[in-house]
Amino acid sequence: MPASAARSRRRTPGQIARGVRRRARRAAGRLRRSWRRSLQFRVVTSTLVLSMAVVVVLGVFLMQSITASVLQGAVQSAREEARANVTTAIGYLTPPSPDLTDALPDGDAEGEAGDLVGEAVDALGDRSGGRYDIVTFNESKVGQARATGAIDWSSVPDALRAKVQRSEEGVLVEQNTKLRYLGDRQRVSGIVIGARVNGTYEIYHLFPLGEVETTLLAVQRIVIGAGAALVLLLAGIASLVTRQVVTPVRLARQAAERLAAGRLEERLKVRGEDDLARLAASFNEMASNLALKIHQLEELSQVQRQFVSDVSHELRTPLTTVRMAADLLYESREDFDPAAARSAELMQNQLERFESMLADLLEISRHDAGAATLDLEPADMRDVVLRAIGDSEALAERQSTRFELRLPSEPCVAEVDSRRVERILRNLLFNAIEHGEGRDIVVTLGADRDAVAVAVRDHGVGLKPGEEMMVFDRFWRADPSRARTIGGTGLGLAISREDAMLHGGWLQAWGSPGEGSQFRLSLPRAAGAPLRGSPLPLVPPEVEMRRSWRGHGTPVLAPAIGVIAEVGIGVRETSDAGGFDVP
Amino acid sequence: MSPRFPRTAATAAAFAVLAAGTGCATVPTSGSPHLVEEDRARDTLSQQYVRMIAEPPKKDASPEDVVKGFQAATASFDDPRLTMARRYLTADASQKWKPWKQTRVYDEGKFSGPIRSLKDAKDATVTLKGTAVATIGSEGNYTPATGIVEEAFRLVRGDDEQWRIAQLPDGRLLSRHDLERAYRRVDLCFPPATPVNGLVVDRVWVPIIPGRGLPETRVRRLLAGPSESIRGAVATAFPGGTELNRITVEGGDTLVVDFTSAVESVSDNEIDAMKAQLVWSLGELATGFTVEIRVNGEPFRGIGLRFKLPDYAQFDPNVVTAQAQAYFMRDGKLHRVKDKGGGDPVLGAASEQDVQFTAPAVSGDYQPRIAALVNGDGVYVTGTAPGSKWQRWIAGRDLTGPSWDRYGSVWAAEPVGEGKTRVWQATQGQARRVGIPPALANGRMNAFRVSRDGTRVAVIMDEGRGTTVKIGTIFRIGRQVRIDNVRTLVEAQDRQKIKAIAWRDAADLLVLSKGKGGQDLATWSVMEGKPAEEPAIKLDAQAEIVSIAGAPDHVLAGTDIDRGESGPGHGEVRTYSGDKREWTMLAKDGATVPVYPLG
Repeated sequence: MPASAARSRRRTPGQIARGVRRRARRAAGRLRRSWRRSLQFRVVTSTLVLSMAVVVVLGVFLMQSITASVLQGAVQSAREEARANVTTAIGYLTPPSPDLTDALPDGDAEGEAGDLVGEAVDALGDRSGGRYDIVTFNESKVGQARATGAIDWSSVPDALRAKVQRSEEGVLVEQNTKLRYLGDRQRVSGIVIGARVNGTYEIYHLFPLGEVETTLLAVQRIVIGAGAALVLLLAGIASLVTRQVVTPVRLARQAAERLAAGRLEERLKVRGEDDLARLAASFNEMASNLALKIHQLEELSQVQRQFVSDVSHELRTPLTTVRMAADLLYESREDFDPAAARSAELMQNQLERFESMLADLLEISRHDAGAATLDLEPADMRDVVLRAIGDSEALAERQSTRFELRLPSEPCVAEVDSRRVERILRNLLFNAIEHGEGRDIVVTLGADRDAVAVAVRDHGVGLKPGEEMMVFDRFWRADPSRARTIGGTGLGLAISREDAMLHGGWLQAWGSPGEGSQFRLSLPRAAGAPLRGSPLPLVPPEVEMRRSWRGHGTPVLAPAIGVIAEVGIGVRETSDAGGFDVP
Repeated sequence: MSPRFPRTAATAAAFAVLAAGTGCATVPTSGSPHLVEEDRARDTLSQQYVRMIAEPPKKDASPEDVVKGFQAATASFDDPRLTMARRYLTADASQKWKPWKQTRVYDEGKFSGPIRSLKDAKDATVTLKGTAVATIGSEGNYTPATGIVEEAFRLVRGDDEQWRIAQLPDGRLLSRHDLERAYRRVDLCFPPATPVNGLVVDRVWVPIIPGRGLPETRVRRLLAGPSESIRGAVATAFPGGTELNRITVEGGDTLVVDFTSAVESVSDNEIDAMKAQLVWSLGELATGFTVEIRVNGEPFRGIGLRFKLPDYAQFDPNVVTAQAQAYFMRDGKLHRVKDKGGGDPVLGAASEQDVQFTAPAVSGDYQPRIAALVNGDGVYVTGTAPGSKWQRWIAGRDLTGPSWDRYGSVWAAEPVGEGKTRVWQATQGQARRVGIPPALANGRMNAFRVSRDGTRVAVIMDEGRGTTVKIGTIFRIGRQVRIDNVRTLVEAQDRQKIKAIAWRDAADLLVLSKGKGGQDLATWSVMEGKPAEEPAIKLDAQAEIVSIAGAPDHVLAGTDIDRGESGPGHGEVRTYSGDKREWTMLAKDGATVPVYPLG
């Protein structure tokens, strides 16, 4: 166990990098989403960015001017001091008088000169009071180099020395550098001002600018701090201000969403008299108008539905009587003259149709009223399909139409109301027989883990584009001039669709002129489970195949191949011809 | 709703900042007068000093220049290993040279190079001639020297045609200027080996450590311990192994002295001595500052240790201050000097007419006691309370004038036989003989003065070849007292007689001498063995000084105006003002023998 724990804890760099990348991507996604969705976030962010830019520009400008003025002051006073010191040093270093020098017994004045430079540096060091340090050199005399305090004399840059040695006597030369000290004192930036005096003496003044640096750093800190505070303050203000605006808008959006969800009683609180309050008021007005209108329409449609239902009921009683009379006439038709007998037959037919139409009307009005209920039980869909086929066989024979059945070998059980499903299938089959023009009708049953589907394919005239949805309309007719050969009521598909929807399933149509049409019923296996996809394609595979003749193989085919052997062969043939391979 | 508003606000605010940065920060043109708070941090820690820069030998330099450059490089203290100076030497000489053995100081040095042509010469000799000033030992002890310094440097020309020093005197030779530049005289303070609230001064010369500054130089030398002449007589309160990290100034008035952790092991009864040692050794550098001891940057023992120089005034190594009460004799009575001049007789036996006494000495007690020679048969002591009587503490004939130390003991020297001397120390009436080395025993003592800190003695010796002043150190081991480490401060000079000595402060002795040029009163620095560097005291040719007394910043003299005429009523006690360089009368009408407590 510990080993596995260690392994799980120890992640490879690749894993870590992936994790980081994933997290970063997620964060970026969240950010993008916030940017897209939150007005407040957008306003605050842009305020932050813009004010930051402004503050940075101003801060840099401010800092530069402060630095320039402070530094200039320090350097200026350093120069003045150096100038005064150089004058003093010249006074010290000039031998008292040439006569006196000559008067020295052996003319060896250098012992005294050592004194002179010492005195000069002493005097300058006293004057400096520790504010700066002095370094002297003399290239042509030995033992004349002096330094004050703890300055490391190598702080004097070589370039400066060379320049001083070349320059005129008494001319100040300066250079910025880093001053080093003996001991553990910190290095500090400073300025070195040098001059050549009395021949080969070089005097350097090393001014530390540490205090100036400290001051400037402090100012810089203040500017940065103030800028940051300013930016944050502005962001806060922006956030506050936008919140005042965004909150009512957000409330309005939520109310609108609820309204859209059908809760028409939703209203906004109206506060004050500003633009937003007026928006809320008109929103409320709109909502109430909408509710009123919808209510009216609902009532109207209720009345209509009631009317249809009532009419159907009311028609039923007289129709029963008429039917009994008609039956009587029909049975004794052989006693009538041929014309009367024909009339009796006709009446009988039309009465049957009338009855079924009435039954359909009642059924659909039950659906409309929401009174239709499911009687669910597990059923093998193959049996359901076979029963529907059996019911339709008589009609099919009459139309000399043959069914081609493609059923899976193993049972596919689904929780359905088999009576309604049978009716749907029956409707689809009648429809196919009617429009199939005597050609074969292919009935396919497909199933997967979640759903079952039945597709009914005919090879009749097909549907024109746009008619796929209209076929389910009540009393719709593809060609009004065409007669109803098998006496459909015009409500069959509408009822079928209502039934499918009652199951939580789909009933869809596909059609193409000249290629026939296909209707597909898809149902979830378990009642109440949402339907995510259908095991069968809506468009028949061979048609799809033709469409994508050259180009991409569609994975839609794959399940079809498994289910339907014959079509699978066909596909294989076609694919051979098309020159691409399906494994 | 519009995001425009905050953006406008941002711009406005930024402009406001700009305006505040430029507009408001102007120089004020009005205000009330107020005292200036000066930052004294720099004064103490960055006292300026000038260093010699050690330069490498110049190309094709003459032998003389090489020696000069070498001397300059030797005088530079930047590098404790003197690597730059060694570049003037041949490899062989560099190995043999021992610069730290001794430092000799000369003045008026002159380098004389070879006179003959050096064109093809392979070696040359450069001689340094000057007058000897002093030598400085490895511990910084200054010993004056006389005579001349003459040292030869032998140079050879190497393969690269450059002259290098091949033979040179051991130790370093510094000119007087070099010494003044690179060394500082410091008064280190150490508590005496006998536990007492007080300090003893050890005056040494220390090289400035470049990059560390004077305070650090002082404290480091202090931690190194006392110099040899008083080692054993004094101790140090700093625990062994204590090192200084650094000294910094914080807040302008706190001198932070940071030690290593060893300092925390100081025993509780020595903490005061340690603090006093530190502040008094820092001396004028610590004046006005609060001194804080830290341990590696942390407060001492977690609670911190902050103190000031005035907190340890009772540790003053001078023992008496400039405001010490002075006394003088008139009409056979001891008088106390009044502020406005003149004096009142003290109470007790010393103001009674019936007992005649000479050579009074005043103790340092709160209620001072007087010791004096009475009846010519010993040293007697009396109090200054009314009714106090003379008690004999030391018996003996021809004793020198008594001298008090701060432990309440009276000292006096007694001549024994021919040119021999014994020294007595008496405490609470009990006299005890003090062990003295032959340098003191073999000779006659004219005066015997114990320093106020009780650690040194100054004596006037007459060994038959004239009078000398000698200095010894008092060692106290248990109850045994011994004087040792005797050395001569003022050499005997022809026809010069030293008449009187008096301790001025912890390190200086007043010496009154009389030679053929008349009287001379000088202050000698006891530990340096030379006259103090201050303007000589100007004497009044009309008034002969017969007795002297000294205190810090004060010199008193008892004068005799009417030379040669005996009798009372002619003497005058005068005080000398160093600033005005003149004497002013303090008491007259026969006033004589001025005395300060102790010394």
